[in-house]
Amino acid sequence: MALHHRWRAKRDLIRATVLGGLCVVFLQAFVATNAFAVSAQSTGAEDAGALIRRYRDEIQSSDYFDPSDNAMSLQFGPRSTAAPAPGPKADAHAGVKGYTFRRCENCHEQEANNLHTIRGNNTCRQCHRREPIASIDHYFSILNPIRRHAYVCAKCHEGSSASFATYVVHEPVAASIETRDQFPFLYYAYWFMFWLLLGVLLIFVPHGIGWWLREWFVKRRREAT
Amino acid sequence: MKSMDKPVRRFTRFDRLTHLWLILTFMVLAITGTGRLYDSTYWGRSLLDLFGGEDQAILVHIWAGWLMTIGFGVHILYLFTRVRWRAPGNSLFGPDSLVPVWRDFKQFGQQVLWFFGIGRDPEFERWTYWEKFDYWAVFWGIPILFVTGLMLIYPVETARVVPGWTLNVALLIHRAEAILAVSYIILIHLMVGHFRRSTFPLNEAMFSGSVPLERLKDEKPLWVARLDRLNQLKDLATTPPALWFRMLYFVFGYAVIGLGVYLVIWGIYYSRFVSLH
Repeated sequence: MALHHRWRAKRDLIRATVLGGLCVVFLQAFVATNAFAVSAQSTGAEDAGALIRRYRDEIQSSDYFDPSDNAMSLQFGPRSTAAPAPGPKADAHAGVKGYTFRRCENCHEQEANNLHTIRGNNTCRQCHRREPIASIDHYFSILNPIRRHAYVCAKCHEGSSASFATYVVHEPVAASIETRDQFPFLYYAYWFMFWLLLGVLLIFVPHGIGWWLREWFVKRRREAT
Repeated sequence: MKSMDKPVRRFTRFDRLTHLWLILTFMVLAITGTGRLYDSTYWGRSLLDLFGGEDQAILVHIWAGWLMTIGFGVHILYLFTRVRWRAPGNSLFGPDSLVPVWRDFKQFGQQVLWFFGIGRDPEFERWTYWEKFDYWAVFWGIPILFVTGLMLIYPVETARVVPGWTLNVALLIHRAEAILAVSYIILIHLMVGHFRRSTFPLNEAMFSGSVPLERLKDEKPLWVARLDRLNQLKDLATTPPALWFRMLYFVFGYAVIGLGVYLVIWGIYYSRFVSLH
């Protein structure tokens, strides 16, 4: 009797596991089909969302849009490191005195120190383009997140997606406390690796030195003692 | 009695070949990687020029990375053959295993106390705690460097799977882990391995594969006692390495040590000219 009872419990467990597994699969499929609906929501255009839902297969099969570009993958990313502007401007440098006679790095010193400049030998204007340079959140800016991957990144990185374009070219200083708010993953990765490195060296360098000194002053052979 | 005087085999030919593979790929990765890290300095570019410039050096770096990963994969397969699946407990936590056990922490404390003249130095079994740490340091390092390296080789493809800003994090982790690996191997692994009074001028065990019995009794008395008790010492008795072979690995060993010390000293010197983060 007890054995029979235990078997029933086991059978129920198997049923629950299978049902639960199916639920997860359906949930996954549901989330996958809604990938475009999320990005449509972020533009606030209900009609566009309906259009995308209706023509989803056609759009996806056209190879023109990248299905991995959904808002979910982008919203946990780093926030802009620029100082909060009063509003998106068509010409971000309007009213800067002596603007014509200055170089970008005269004011944007930290921004000039990035791998695209140092390693890739890029100039500022290869990405930011000619005058007027708009705020990147201005609707017509070449570097607006809605188009920068296609208009800027893809010039060198063929096939770049909106997700790819969230790579932070002007990387904040990883160790600084401001980075904890702007780019928390980078901040915590830095300090984790920092303490790992320091911890390993702080334990094993004195350990090696102590050992070296001990062997230098004491004959170690067991037979001798 | 005759076999008692012969050197005892500590590493099989396969072990030594794996280690040699690791040395070669590691050094190529260290030189090209350091050159890449310091590529805005004169010294960094001179390292890259050894491989015909930055573009070629990064290709060499990628290929050496793949070769190291292949070696790691082969080693994982080898590990599966080492575990006795009928009774995994003993082969995983026994004295022949590199899995850390509580005894290693105790022996670490005992060893540190001995540095200050308190008590005796611990009697070791087959693997000491620092050998185990050396092993696991590489074991955690290779997968981290492989995954982050793969992300950086294929950034556009990676951004289809994970958000693009993870590439910032991947680059930081790849660099930090590489700096940790190079500084650990050269400052600690090589110095402790070869420059202690009892091992100077070169710890030959990993190259010749064998250690003289007298020396092994000193280094790992409990292992020798166990082998003696189980009557396995004669199975592990080998011939001492040939002179030409010793000459070969002395030259090779000192070339690697010299190269490593060169990388660390100049790396520290030039570190003020680059922004590492």
